[in-house]
Amino acid sequence: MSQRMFRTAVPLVIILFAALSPAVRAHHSNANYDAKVEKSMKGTVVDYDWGNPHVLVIWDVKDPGGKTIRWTGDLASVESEQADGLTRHTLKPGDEVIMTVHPAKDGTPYANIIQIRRGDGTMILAVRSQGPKPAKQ
Amino acid sequence: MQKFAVATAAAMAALVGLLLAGAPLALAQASGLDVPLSIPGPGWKTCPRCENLSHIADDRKKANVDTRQFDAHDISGVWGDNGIRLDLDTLPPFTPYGKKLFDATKSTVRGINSKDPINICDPLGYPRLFTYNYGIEFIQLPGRTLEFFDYGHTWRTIWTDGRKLPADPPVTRYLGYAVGRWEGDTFVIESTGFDERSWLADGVGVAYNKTKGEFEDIHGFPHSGDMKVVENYKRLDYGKLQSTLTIIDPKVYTKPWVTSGVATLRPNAELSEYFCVPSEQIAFNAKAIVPTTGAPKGTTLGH
Repeated sequence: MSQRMFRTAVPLVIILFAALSPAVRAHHSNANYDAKVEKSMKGTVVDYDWGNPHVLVIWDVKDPGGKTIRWTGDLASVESEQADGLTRHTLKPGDEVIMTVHPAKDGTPYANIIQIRRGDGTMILAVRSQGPKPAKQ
Repeated sequence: MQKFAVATAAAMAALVGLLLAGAPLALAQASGLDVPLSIPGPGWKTCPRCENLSHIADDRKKANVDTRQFDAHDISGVWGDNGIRLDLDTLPPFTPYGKKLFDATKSTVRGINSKDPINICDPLGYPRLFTYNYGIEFIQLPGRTLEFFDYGHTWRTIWTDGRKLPADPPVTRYLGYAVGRWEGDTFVIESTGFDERSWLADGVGVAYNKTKGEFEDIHGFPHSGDMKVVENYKRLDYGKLQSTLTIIDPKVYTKPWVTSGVATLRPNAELSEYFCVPSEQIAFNAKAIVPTTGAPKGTTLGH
């Protein structure tokens, strides 16, 4: 691949990935989250808000200094999350989880969740089974 | 053009390569039929948005949607799960008044549109329910066709008993007043009498900022109370419904705005109930919207 072609192809790949993004289907954008950063962390579920417009997961993470950071993670709607295999019973307070997220751009503990595993590594959610939709249906 | 085609092919090859390599996390586990279908129990169906792409493809294959016989004058069934987005390529210039309305929809926070009526569960209205809907269902009855929407769990009545649109309706409606007729194999719906507080659509999935690489949610698309909407639906085969939306609103847009797309039949889905619940929305705004948008505490979203 020539350098010139590569320069053209890379943005196209980015656009294709953007087209796969849940933001395409969400009722608001995910622009406040940094889609270029993936952060994984082990934590304990504090709350699992199975509701609309988006399902939320709230979890605590202990930082290296022993301080507890409370994270709030955004998913998609209840109906969209069923397509990803989640139900209202999937998580409960106290569950050990490994969350992988796109964190907020401003460094606050808010995030767009892209993967959830149980503490033992079992996959719960690997976003997004709904996958790409054509620009025009 | 040829260079673009080569670059596109290269981009696709790169994408496939990345997929095969399993590198990007978000795509590494593209689940499909291994994800349990979400149904309440035997005999029940899933909802349109509750199916992933593999389930959708599987259902459509099992129902032989591409080759099955169909009645061209029967558009009943569950269609799509996301609506058909407004075509920005055909967006006409705003009138000066329309530009003023458009500018007034500009968000005061980042990331979401603070002015969007959806933030406080105001009705989406029509034709926003054409552009965003979680699936629709047409039911044809003598003298009327009903269109149900999963989002908002609402419906509109399209009268086919020969009545005319009201020239000056006593009240405006979020979903307007609609009449329908068959022109050959095309079902034509005309509607008017809309409440001007609704939007045609937000900016999500519509406005893609190539420089930032993000979907922007800055403006909504307004309309006036004088808007007239014309829709054409034609069944291309058993599984595909050609859908064309024409927005005629000379107060706001200098020309009719035409959007076309194809809604796909969802043979193994039934509408669920997506209510925008104000108490849920208020809690969500406080937990996830206000803290991430730079909005001051106490910010009221929605106007």
